[in-house]
Amino acid sequence: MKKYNYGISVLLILIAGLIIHNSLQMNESVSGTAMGPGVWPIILSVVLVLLAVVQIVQTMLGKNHESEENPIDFKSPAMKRIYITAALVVVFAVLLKVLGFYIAMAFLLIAVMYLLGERNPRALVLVPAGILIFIYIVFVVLLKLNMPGGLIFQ
Amino acid sequence: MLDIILTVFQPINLLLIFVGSLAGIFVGAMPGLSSIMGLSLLLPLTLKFDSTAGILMLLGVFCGAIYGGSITAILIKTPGTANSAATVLDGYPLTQKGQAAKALGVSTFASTFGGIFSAIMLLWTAPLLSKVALSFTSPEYFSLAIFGLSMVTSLSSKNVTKGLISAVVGLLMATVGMDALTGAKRFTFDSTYLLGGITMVPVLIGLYAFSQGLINIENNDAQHKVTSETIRRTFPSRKIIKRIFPTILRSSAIGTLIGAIPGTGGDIASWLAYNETKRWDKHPEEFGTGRIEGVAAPEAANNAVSGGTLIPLLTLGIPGDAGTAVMLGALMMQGVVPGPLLFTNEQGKVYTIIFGLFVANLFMGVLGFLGIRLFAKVGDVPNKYLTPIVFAFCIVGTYALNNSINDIFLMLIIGAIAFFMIKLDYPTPPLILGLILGGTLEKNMNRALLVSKGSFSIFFTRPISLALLLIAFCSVFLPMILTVIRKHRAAAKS
Repeated sequence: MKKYNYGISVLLILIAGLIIHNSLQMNESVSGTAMGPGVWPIILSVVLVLLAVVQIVQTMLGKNHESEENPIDFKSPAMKRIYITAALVVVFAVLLKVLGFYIAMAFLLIAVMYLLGERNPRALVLVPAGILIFIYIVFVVLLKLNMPGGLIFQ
Repeated sequence: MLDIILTVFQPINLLLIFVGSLAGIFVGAMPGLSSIMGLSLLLPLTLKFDSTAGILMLLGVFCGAIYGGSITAILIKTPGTANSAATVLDGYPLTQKGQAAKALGVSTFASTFGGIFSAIMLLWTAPLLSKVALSFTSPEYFSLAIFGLSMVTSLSSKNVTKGLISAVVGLLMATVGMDALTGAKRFTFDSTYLLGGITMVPVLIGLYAFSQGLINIENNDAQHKVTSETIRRTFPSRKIIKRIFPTILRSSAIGTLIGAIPGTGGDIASWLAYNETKRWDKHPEEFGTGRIEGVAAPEAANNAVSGGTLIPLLTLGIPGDAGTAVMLGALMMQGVVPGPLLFTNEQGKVYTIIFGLFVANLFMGVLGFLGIRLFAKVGDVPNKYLTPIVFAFCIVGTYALNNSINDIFLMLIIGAIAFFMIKLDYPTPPLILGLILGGTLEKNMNRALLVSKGSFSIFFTRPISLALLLIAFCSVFLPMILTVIRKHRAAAKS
């Protein structure tokens, strides 16, 4: 957990720095308000920097009562499933933009089911089909929602 | 009053409460789906209806999900939600003894009783509290928001620093977009999407539903438990009701009280009620071996929380936990702004909500008794089907809000971040609460400073504001200070 605490703290300090830099360029307060638009984000960023520093100090002193165990094993098979899911989601996002909702969703459903160990071809077709029909009836027919058609099926 | 009852009893409203309760029980009964997840996934759906109907449906989900968690807790020793963790202790031994039906009957009865008890308490106390809150002005509202945020942070986090970091990140996220007061663009990076700000629904769904889907994928190797019981419908006998009545009455009171304190929640209430029941019992040693009081106490308490949390929510606009934060966001999106003014300006809405809570609890009870055989099977849905369904609902639900593909992308990104937040022990409730309360905080700070001509003393010189800030400060720092004092004492002794 230690190295993650340090890493996140540094990241938060960097983000807070960017926000402060950005906020300082904002206009002065407008009439009818007590503080300009940049003041509140600056206050929050300063608090965030303080908290990050506190986290670094606590971690150094080992006073945050956290286990020394590594919370994320990046090489485990479980995490590999997460990487694959992330890749699938990216493909889904591209498909959604290009081919529209139904094709993208069908792809994601089948792929995730396969990833989770479903090998029966009938289930791989019928379960996603069932989910999509349910979505169509509830959201499109009953709630009059238009699902994105993508660039091709507009 | 009659027109309010008639509003709730309109067929469409009754149908939506019914659908909401049903969906809530389903979600609650599925291990791996939390009640907040159910609320977040169904929230966009409720926004499609007019405001009263949508709110009533959400109340159904709210009550149903808490109850649903107990079913799998009793049957397969896996609480559907954290609220039902205490129910496992005596619920599962009852199943092992072949008395699952009895346990489920008691849990349904206790849940319904707890929910209705808390709705009555809400009806009784909320108008009183709102009168006190009517004197609140901007410094009090600012301090109140800080108070709510700090309570949730301190109680939801193992590590307070991490909780505070989550809260501040949530507050910062709320600043993105067009500033409501000055019209200035903040952190939009010239994107028209970000100009509208980071909205709650995509963040909520990413935080509580999509991330949970990822966790389920990660834990896919875990063994799947399946019920072997065939359940008969059982309404508890008069003898049993008589026996558990003192327990559920006490537990309902505990649940309502705990619920009314911001930052607590169903899990704390159910453990407390369980322990109190054990302490008051003549045979505390029998607990854990299958006492029906051990089922009745946590179930009455966790459902009583639903009415309890609505007390500060409706009167002060302060959500007590992530679940009520969703309710707050939903109410605001429906154009109902909770707070003391709600009770003077929109009495009809308030009493519709309170009365809706009665009806939602009744439906939950009826559904619980009639549909128990079906719900008992819900937990059997394997992960390989459940997780894809969750993903599909995350995506469609997010899109349904504004017909925006960008919302879907935001939801996916937040989901991925939330996965690592959960892994690294950064609690998520402070973040969502920060996002919701951010605007209120900034607006009221600005107004207060305008009155005080820029002096921060205004927050410390008004008694109510000062008291709220002191409690907020203590809730965050007291545990730390106490540890230091204890160490010093120990050192002094040795």
